Amino acid sequence: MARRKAQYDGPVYYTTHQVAQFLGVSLPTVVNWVKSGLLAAHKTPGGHRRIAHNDVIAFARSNDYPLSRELLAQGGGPCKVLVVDDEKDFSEMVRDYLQIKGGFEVEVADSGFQAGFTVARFKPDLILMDIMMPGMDGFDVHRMLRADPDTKHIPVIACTAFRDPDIDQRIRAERFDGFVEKPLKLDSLLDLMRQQLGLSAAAS
Amino acid sequence: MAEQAGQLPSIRRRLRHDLNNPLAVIVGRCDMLLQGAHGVLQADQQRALESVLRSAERLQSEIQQLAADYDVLHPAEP
Repeated sequence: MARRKAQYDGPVYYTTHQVAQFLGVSLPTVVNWVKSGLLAAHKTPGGHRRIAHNDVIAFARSNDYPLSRELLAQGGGPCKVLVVDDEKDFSEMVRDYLQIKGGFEVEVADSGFQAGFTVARFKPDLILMDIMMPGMDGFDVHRMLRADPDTKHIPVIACTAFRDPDIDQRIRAERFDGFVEKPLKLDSLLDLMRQQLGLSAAAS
Repeated sequence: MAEQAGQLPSIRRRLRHDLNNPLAVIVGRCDMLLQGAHGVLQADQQRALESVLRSAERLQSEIQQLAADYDVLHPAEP
């Protein structure tokens, strides 16, 4: 009788050789990154290094290495996007669109405060951040994310319905990864997100 | 006068933020429906939605012009 292979839903790990292939560098380069503590890894009982998928993604984003479709596809499951906006109708519309047309897994947070908790639990690959929210605004949340080693690599796209030269200047100064203005073209937003995630249009 | 001056930033915000937010949902939802996100539309449904979208985009253009005119009239306000 054929034995059914058990389904494994846990974290995905790579060898140093695989990481070198994903990032287009030599094997010694990856080994050096691990030895110098730049890239987190653990050792198997046999002494081989294994690197978690999320650590490779974080390292690549922090060091401006392009993310290949192949690497992103290895992570298992769709890309995760968090939409932060106090306008519930807007965030739900964006969620619906990204789920239907982008194939993303999407969660929404309706305040900067809630965004902090959701980021810690959901671990998004990308965040769409409304700038003008009561209380903790988009700039505050963005600074908080950038100050945390666990979240500083997550691309954040700023979004606002209130655009003026001062807002534009602050968005540039605080180095958001992208900017969209409401009302927006949803297909343009999806293109921008795919670009940030290193996905081609066909990869959805 | 002070009260009037105090209302000016609020008017600027309302012209952009408070009008653009609901408009973004109208434009976006129409866009989604026209893209077939919730199923294929019949020809008359499509025509009706295209009409809503055109009107919403016209409204968007009017809001932008109104906001620009307001900025010209009140250049020093935040």
